[in-house]
Amino acid sequence: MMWRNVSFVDHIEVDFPGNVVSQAMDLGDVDNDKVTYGPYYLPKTQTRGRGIEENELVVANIDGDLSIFKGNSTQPQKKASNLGMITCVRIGDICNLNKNLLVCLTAEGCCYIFDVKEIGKTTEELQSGEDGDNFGDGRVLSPVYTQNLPANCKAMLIADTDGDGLLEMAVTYSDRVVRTFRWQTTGESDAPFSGRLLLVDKWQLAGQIGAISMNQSPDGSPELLVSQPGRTYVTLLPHTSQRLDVTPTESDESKSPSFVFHPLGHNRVRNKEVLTVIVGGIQRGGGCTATYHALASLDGSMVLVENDNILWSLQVDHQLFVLDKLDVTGNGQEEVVCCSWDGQTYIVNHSREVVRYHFKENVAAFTTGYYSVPGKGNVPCFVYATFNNHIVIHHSISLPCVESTSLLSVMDKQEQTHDLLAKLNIDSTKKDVLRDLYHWTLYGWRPNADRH
Amino acid sequence: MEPQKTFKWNDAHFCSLASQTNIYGLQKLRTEKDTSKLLVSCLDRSFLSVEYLKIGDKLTPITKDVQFTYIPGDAEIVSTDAFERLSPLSGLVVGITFIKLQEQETRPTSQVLNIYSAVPFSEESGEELSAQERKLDIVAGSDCKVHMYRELPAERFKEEPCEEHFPEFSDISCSILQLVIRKVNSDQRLTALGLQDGEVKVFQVDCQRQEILREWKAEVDSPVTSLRFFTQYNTIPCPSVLENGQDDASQSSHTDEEVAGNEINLLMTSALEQAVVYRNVLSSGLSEVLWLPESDQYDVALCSLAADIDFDGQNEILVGTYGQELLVYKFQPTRDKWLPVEPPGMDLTNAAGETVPSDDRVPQLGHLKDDVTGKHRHRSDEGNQPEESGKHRHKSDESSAAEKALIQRKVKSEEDLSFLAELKPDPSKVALAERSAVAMELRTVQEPHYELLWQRSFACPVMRLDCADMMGDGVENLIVLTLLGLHIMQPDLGEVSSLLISRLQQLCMSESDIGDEFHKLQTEIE
Repeated sequence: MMWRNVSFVDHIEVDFPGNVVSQAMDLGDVDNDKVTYGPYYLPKTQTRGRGIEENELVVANIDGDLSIFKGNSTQPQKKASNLGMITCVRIGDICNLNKNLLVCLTAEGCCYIFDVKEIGKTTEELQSGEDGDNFGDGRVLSPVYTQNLPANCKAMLIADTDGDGLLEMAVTYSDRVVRTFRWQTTGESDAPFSGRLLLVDKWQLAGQIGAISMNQSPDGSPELLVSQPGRTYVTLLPHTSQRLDVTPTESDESKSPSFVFHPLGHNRVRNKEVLTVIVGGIQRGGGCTATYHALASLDGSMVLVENDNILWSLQVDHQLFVLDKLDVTGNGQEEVVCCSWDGQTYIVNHSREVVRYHFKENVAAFTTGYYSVPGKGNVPCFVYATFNNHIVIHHSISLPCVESTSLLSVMDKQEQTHDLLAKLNIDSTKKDVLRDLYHWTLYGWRPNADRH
Repeated sequence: MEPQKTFKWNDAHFCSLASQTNIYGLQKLRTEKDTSKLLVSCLDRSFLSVEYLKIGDKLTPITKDVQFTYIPGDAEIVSTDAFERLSPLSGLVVGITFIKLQEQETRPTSQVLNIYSAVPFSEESGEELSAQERKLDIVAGSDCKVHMYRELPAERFKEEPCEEHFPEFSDISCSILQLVIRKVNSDQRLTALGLQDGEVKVFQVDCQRQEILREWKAEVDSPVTSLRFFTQYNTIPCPSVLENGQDDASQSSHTDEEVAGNEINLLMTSALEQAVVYRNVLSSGLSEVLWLPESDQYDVALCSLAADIDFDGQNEILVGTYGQELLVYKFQPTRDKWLPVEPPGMDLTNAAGETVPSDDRVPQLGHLKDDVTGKHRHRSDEGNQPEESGKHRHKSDESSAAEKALIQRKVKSEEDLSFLAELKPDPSKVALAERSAVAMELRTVQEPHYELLWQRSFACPVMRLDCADMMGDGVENLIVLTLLGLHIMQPDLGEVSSLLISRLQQLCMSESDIGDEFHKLQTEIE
């Protein structure tokens, strides 16, 4: 395959034993050290990536250990253990308090909410230092709230799923059910976190759900997408919305099916039952509020979609299991980032140009986002959880462009170039002439030449 | 004047290799379209060619496996070299050397040069021999000899005694690891040899009469890993499209300037010591020495390159190390120094009894003349031993502890008073530093030196460096061969294009000025 490859070098490697699933890893400002609040469905560049925040990495494994990593320390800054088989970890303002909390779901159905104090500020933390075994009390996390929810959750996100301005928690289950929960304060006591998570909505789907994601529809409303086998997906519509054709009823089961299935050329898909993942909310750049979404399947097929139209599709010979998005080039357009079990990472832009990076280990979990590196602030990064008890954060992954670009094409796109060349009586269509001119201007130039 | 700027270099492309390569594993070829193509050899007999092609209107990096026949299955590739035949013949000649653990008969082929002589180390195509209008393949072997193969008609090669054409290869005591040849003018060449025992030999040879005119020797304590001849400035001919508009006088003045300030320098890296630039080899031999600081701090320095990577017309020095670092150095003619304002009669000596260089001696730093056979010692340890006779240590390392303290103080900035505590608790030194701290001033002194401009890490040891215009856009890409991958690097094209546009604007302005002045002159005459 004639694709461009790159090699990323700068990384932070942290120690974290045990098996990690992709949903049990998140990047965000978990300790609210400098928070700029914004709803989840806005691009990470606007909410989580901007300047002053300092993002941390939260990871959990199926043995019940939860750790928070900050900066370039290889040991966790905070941790909790014996939580159960943790399948989902997300950072978000679940309680609608304008404050990021850490939400952790286990396969057993337990939901833990942690309120993480600012990391690296208390004296006992500084004293206990890097010693991983001897954790001070200030570094052991304990949940501020615990609730039992339905068991066997697979994926979770915290977002405003129904457009009411409040954030919900949307959870998918291995029995093909999606539920959304909202935090409800009971108001009985003044104590913080006196309230509970209430079921808002529920959908029963036909196929196994690979991933759940938010998207911005062309009319500006948020939409909740879940992927279905065979590179298809479903848009979940809220039952309780003010639609005339849907009357809210009390029982979940009696609700009319309220979702839209998108086959996306399903007939042409080779393997109709293949596991599929989805990511929505891919920023198009240029001030456009509507976003693209992308799907990838384990048989190596990838598509970028807008309004049921496939913008491009791509077939690779690696098993794609995680899909994410990140503005790697810094131009406001988010690239699709896809990772395979064997570490092959594809970065694809909106015009189907591909650049690859091969992470040389098998990957248990992968995520992208912004992480705060000392001296650099929040930078875009790729996070790989391996099967060898460590997690690698690649933090120097910005590229000027995705496609292979030469100086000729960069110059050609600049308006001034053609004026200047015309002034110099140079035919701008002759590549050889331009190459010699550019070469001399770059390498044969004398700063103090007597040009006047 | 444009402000000095460092450009961000990114991977334009990366190829990972099937197996490991070595410091002789990269060869640059030219394509028909005047771009470059790279040939990489791996230990396990796999060869890769990498080039950029336009597919549709998209520039695409193309990586192909190249098959060379008649390489036995258990061979390990040592080095590859290739050159284009001179007319009337055409095509490439590729020389591949490999080792085979068992003895086997030579199987000569037309395209592949198989050398079985013990362990061959390095190849250099002897291109610029004006006496022979023919290219030769030269192979340096571990039998302490250089073998020369000459192409005969009907695509056959024959070994010829090389002393006849290369008298400089006649007396070699040890394996040659590095061999570079540079043409000085139409009838002279410079040949540099780097030996396994750390000896560097440079010969000035008359190509017509095949005579050694002069030779110089230097010695370090570890094998020579790379040698490069380079000049401080690049000479790029002005493209013909500009020549009409350009003032001829300004162009010719450039060439004058280049002749004056563009002596041939020799860059050397060795396994354990700091990399070295021998300046102005033709007039000073190997005596004018500049060290590249910190180049010994990242394991063995394996390769080097002189290339202009910030578009200021001057070549920077790049050193690649086994410690996975690429170091970039820039030449600086002057240095800002904290120097003591010397009160008369103040005795500035250190434990070893060496005098702190006073102001009038400072400009000589880096110009210290060693005699041609002098052995340069440049360990970084501060073993203050008295100078052994006949063994010259370099001035910058001889500099006394006092001077080091002063430099250290400069680095740590003035307000940092804790520097005294951080120094070794040597009372005399502390006292000295205190005394000198009383009266010091910052001065710019004439002291040519190299400064570490930036550095960059790679995922593997850096084995070889080169530069080539891979994309045919006039920009020299930096080629970095690491143990397990080939990086084709590119400067940030946004930055480069804005620099280019500002220069083109200056060109336009100067052209219109010339035009104006021409008009003025004409009207005056009329």
